Amino acid sequence: MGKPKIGIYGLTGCAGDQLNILNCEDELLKLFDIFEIKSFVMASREKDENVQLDVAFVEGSVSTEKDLEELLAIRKKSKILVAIGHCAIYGGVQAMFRGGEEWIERYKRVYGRENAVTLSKPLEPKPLSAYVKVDAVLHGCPIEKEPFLKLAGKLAHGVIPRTPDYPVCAECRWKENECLLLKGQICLGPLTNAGCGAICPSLNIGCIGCWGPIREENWASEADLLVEKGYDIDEIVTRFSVFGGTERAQKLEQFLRSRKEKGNG
Amino acid sequence: MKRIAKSKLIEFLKSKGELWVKTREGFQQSDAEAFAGRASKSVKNMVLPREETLLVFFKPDGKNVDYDEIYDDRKRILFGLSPCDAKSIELLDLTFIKTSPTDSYYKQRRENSVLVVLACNSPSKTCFCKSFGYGPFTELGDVFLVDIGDVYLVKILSDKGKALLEGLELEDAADAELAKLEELKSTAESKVQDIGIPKDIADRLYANFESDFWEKIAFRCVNCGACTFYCPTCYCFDIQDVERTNWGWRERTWDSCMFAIYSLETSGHNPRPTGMHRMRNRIMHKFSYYEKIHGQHLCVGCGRCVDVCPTGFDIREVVKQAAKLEVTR
Amino acid sequence: MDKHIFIEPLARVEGHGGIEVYIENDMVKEVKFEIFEGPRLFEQLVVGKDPQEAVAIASRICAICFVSHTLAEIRAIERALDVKVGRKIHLLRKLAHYGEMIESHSLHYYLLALPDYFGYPDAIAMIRQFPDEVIGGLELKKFGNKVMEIVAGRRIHGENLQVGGIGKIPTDEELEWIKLRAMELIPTIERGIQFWNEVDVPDYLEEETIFISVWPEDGTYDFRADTIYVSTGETYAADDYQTALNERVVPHSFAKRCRYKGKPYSVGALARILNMRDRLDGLAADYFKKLYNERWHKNPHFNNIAQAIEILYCLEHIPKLVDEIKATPLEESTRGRDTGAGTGLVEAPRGLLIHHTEMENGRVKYADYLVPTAQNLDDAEKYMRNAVKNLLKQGVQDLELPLEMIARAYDPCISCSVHLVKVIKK
Repeated sequence: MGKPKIGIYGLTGCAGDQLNILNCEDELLKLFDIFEIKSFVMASREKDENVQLDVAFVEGSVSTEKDLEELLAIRKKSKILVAIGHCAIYGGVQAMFRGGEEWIERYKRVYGRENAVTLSKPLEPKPLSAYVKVDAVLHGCPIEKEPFLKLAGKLAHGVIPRTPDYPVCAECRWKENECLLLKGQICLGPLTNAGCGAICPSLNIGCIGCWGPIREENWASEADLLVEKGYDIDEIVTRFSVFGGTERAQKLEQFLRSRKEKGNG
Repeated sequence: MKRIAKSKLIEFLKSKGELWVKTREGFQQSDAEAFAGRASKSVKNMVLPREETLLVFFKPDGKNVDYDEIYDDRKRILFGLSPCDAKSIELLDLTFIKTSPTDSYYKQRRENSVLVVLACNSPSKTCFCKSFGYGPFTELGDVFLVDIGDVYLVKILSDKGKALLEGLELEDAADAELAKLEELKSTAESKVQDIGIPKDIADRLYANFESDFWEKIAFRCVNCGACTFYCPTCYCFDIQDVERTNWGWRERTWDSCMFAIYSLETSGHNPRPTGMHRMRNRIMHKFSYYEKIHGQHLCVGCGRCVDVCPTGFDIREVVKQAAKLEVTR
Repeated sequence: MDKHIFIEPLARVEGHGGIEVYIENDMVKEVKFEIFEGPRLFEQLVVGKDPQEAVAIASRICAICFVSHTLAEIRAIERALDVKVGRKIHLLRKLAHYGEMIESHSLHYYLLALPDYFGYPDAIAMIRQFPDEVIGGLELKKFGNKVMEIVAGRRIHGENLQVGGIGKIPTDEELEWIKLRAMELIPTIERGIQFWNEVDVPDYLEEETIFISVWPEDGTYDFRADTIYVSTGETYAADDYQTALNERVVPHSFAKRCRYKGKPYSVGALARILNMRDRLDGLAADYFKKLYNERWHKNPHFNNIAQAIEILYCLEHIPKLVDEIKATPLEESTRGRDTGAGTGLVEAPRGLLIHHTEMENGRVKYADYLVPTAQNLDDAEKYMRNAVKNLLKQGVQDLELPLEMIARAYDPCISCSVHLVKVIKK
């Protein structure tokens, strides 16, 4: 078996996931050794886009038609497509729920009119999975070095690993931190994918949810809890919406408002 | 009951092995005085560590595997366990030693540890150990101590304890000191709860497996796993191999039945797909299955889970509600 | 001869950009520095958010310069809410900022820019001939990352820096490590600076330009201030930035464009070093004196060496900074009000960065961000046009690499540049 051919791509995002791959200073040379990197535009001018890839890593959300074209081309030529980072998996902060307003209205307010920029048609930001089949994901904002290396290692051996989906609380408790929720702070730990090592709660800062919502999050219970602690609905919905993507904040707001109306708020 | 000056005992024990003292936070190698109450962290980490390496393996030619098992053979003295800590070790012993096959790692660690139990002078608000037929002054462990001020009252309870204190001169306790013990004991016992667990709770829960009771109680849980990490009797673990190029190691870490991934099978099927399933499993493991298999509930009434839960889930309330369930079959 | 050059995607830059040139009858008809990176509409995303959320969102504008965005946002909100922090916090923020400068500049100088001057497609290919340089670059980058990890909480999107203070103060051991390692790395960057002597700096594009940077009030060479300085001699208060710098939308870019009194201008390490050259000291000042000549005012390629000198400046100043942090006690911060407006002015590695915020009842009401790369785009196009004109005259066929090198010299951070601004009716 020859060296696996991989490509590392970025759509619309902050490039943090690609940057953190470049941040594997000690392992970077080995990485370039084990894999045949056919495209990594952020690092190298050399690329070959006419090759079938074994694995394609893609960060960033689909925010323009050009992004979409690129994504479809990548999907077509790769055996395994891995979405890396919050933007690729959930849409990023740019996909946050904004109180029911149409995305194109926001765009017009910014650029003046709908077709102000003719370079490529802008689209409402969506994760990769809105358009193509994604074979594996790597959570993060940005992704972390060790999980990326572990994932790359497994993929090099032809294994698609399952993403762990337990909450930040597991790591926070592992580090024996004091629970910030018990202290009355808003912390989205119970709803957020672990893997970051519970960095922010370890710094006494409530988790802001940047690794995205876990699959089976119990946002209703956490919302109830925060209401009990005296936070009002708008505060809670705003906090949940930052990294929550569009749907969750919408559902949450409906849930909390109906509770309030029934007199349970 | 005998008696000994605190400093004399500590000095003596330091010469007999690695001394681990229970402070307010938990067990540490420390010169601090042992805390006569419920520490934040239980003794679990001492016998079933949060992370341990089980073996190291080598594949020198890439095919055949050589390995070395790693055993912890340190002689340790665990000083200051509360009676609930000692009870939890009894319960863990049932699973890891008394049930075949024996867990050799746990057994080694267990046999190399001497348990010096300290009576619990100041139970916490959420303690309910009385519900399980013992209390803050129940004599458990290899050596039993009571902190009455600047002196420990001492009672040797096992051969291991006797061997530990061999050569140490113990005096007889004075009447005044014994009276002090009684005083501390009745104060402590008045502070712990007995939630009134019915004798047939195991059957009640078992009969109500399909009841909507579980959905109701599971609603609040955010599946953070804090309860399982802090619980002295929760023992679920995960074993993973960490591989490098041609060598690696096998490690065991704590796991939690409260995470969705815990019961996920390779086929993709998950027998406990929702929070309700996992909560039901946890409660039944502790108050139904374990008694049916081993004759005791898998809970020591320490109350830590009540204190660490961010949503205020209270297992005492759950058990009290469960006690009212009918045995319909 | 007619020619259409389309370089896309532009390699070894952050974000998705391209260069397009139209040549008709051997004359340059049009040069466009295109920004394909999609719009994320950040100034809209922060509206309605509280300070912690606004800072976390603003950080995500860019991964390489997240500390700069974080600090700009924090400064804007602190001014809007009249929040005063003590000197220790101020110094810790400075340390994180230095870490970012070192990390970003090393990444750019060694990995993104230098390979071009020696004919390599990337730094990995370069490593066989120049192992010390590439590995030295990686060590410097690693150090910058570690500083950010320690002070900001993570090497990308750390949350430790907050409005009003900091989550956790780094330990004395961590600070000592930073101090010692900084001193150890000085010879490495000196070699990197000397390495510039091997570079043949292209001259087919030279033209004077305007340089804009911050102008620290305390007279030091620093990356934060409340005053803007233009190389023509004028200064502006940070709050008046809109009178000086005018933005407009162009069809070939999701990033807006900026001019000073109708003229394109440059921001970044080169702008800083030229504007504040009398404020340099130590070895950084020595190397600057040795290498400086009047071409630096006319040629964006010198931005690369300016970055290398800034790395040296930061490394030299870290030991004293660490000592001062350790010796300064932590003070309580105060907050004056819930409603107000403020402008946070900082230098990101790539240049002048402004976050302007209006707060109402403790939440963001309005935000405006002006990012460095958007300010450089017109200047870059100007030099690209010069390059194409002169190279065509010289009969050079391969115009792609020269154009890319000009784009890369600015160290463009394309994700940053695509933001949004709405003209406020003041």
